[in-house]
Amino acid sequence: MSPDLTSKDGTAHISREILRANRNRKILHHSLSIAMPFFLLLLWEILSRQGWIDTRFFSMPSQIAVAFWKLIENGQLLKDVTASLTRVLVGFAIGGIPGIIIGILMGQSSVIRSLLNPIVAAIYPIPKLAILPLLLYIFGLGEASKYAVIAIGVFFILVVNTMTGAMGVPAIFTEVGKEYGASRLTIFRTIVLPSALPVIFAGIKLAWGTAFLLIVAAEFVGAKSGIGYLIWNSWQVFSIEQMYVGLIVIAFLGFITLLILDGLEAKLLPWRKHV
Amino acid sequence: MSSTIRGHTESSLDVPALESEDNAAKITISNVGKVFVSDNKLTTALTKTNLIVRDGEFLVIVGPSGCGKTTLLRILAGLETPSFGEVKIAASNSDRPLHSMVFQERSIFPWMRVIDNVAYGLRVRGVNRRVALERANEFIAKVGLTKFAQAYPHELSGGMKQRVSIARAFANDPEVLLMDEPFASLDEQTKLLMQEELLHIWDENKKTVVYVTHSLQEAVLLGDRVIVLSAHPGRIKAEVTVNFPRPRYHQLTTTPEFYALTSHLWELLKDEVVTANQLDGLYTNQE
Ligand SMILES: Nc1ncnc2c1ncn2[C@@H]1O[C@H](COP(=O)(O)OP(=O)(O)OP(=O)(O)O)[C@@H](O)[C@H]1O
Ligand SMILES: [Mg+2]
Repeated sequence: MSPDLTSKDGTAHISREILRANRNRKILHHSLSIAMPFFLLLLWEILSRQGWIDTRFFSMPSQIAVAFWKLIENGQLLKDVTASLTRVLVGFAIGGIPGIIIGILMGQSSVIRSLLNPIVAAIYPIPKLAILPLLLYIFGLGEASKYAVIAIGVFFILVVNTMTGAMGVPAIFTEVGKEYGASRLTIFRTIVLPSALPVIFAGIKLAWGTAFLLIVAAEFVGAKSGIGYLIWNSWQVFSIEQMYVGLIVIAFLGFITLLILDGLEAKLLPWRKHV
Repeated sequence: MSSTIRGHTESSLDVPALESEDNAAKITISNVGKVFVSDNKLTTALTKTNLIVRDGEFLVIVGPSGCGKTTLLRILAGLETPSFGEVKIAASNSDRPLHSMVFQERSIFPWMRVIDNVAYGLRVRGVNRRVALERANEFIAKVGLTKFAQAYPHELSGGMKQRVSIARAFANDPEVLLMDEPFASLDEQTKLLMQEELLHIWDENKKTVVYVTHSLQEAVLLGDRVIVLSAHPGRIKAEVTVNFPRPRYHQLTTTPEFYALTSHLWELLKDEVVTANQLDGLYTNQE
């Protein structure tokens, strides 16, 4: 929201020029970004038709497209995507919300931090996949074990990031709050939270990516649906094209959802780079 | 009702007596000192300071860098407790906040638009949103930022940000304004305009102001009284009364009387600045 920079005199058309140049540059960059994958696909197709690429390992894009279409038609793809997304979202909610709350508490209170930090620091570096067998043992092969592995993975990332954000609030800002007579709760709501949000958001994005990694791995073993299951099952039945479909879909899902998160961040926190 | 900030109270209180009723003490600083502890080292920022600021007085504090000016203001604002002595600020009107500070460093919130930054104190006090924004807009206009009311701070220049924090303090309508080098980061021309605006606003509602500056011209132009602090650790070295009639305008700065007073202040301050910056060698060489 900048005030209008154009003026009545001759500078108006110069401003328009600058804006147009800026827009053109953006369009060019976007087109390049979009064109590049298609170019690579085309190259891949040509090289495999020429026999320069081993199609036993790298199926031809055209054949992957056929497999893609089949999976869409028989509804299996939609079912798998829905299953994976549901698991990620449920697990994210179960682990993420307490993660952010505990992170804020740890950032705000040195007592809580002293109490919990050693535990968090000890568990944080454990690859969460390493506890998948234990979770399967506890929660069985059903949905619960998938929720659990995502919840745990997401939880620790968000605790650590949120705590960092809540601790990094510059003292001057909380002092302004005090000087203007704000209560502790008001200081928290109007100063600590907004000041920590950019770091919390970075944690959410990191955790989201991790959740995708975890769900695919978790679905490899003991699942009868989901993108991970699709990929693993394709391997077992030697359907390489179908496996590529799974890979593409998971990449696409991760990409799109991160794009949405970025957009949301830009919309909600336009000042995020300037705290 | 009055707010008292107390440290370890020392025995002998040599507080100057009040002269008359209409010169009632607004702020009473008795034997206040501050010692900081960091890395097991003690730093004395301020030694036994006694000072009375009268109701409606514009008091200016000058002194070399590091002499404890900010520390004193922070004690007045209640952000720092004095290590000894006590501070009393008499409150006359319970609806108005007692004090608002314009901080020396960047202190406006990057996550709020200019208008919400300026309205912050009012909103925290529970003033109705519409009234608060109206009032905020009034002061945004006074500091010349109307076009930027809806902008975020990162869209403003450094000087404009400082103007926002000045507007925020004024809009809050406190009984005492604490201003820590508010114009230091402004360009020379904007500073002149803001000084006149400050004089104007002050003439309108005669708040008690405690104003810290490094500029002796500014001190004499704005103040009723100028307190000179000695080099670190700070103590009151001298006190100069400024009797120029009000309302004052910039023309005052061109008069010989004005010049005489600022040079007198400089004479008082010179040794302290030399000590503060450890420039003794340089100084004697030049003599
Ligand atoms: N939190 C703190 N911990 C330790 N020492 C401090 C602290 N705050 C200030 N000091 C010290 O107290 C002294 C006075 O600092 P203060 O900020 O009040 O100076 P100042 O007069 O405002 O200086 P300037 O004109 O440069 O702003 C300095 O020596 C400073 O190093
Ligand atoms: Mg200072």
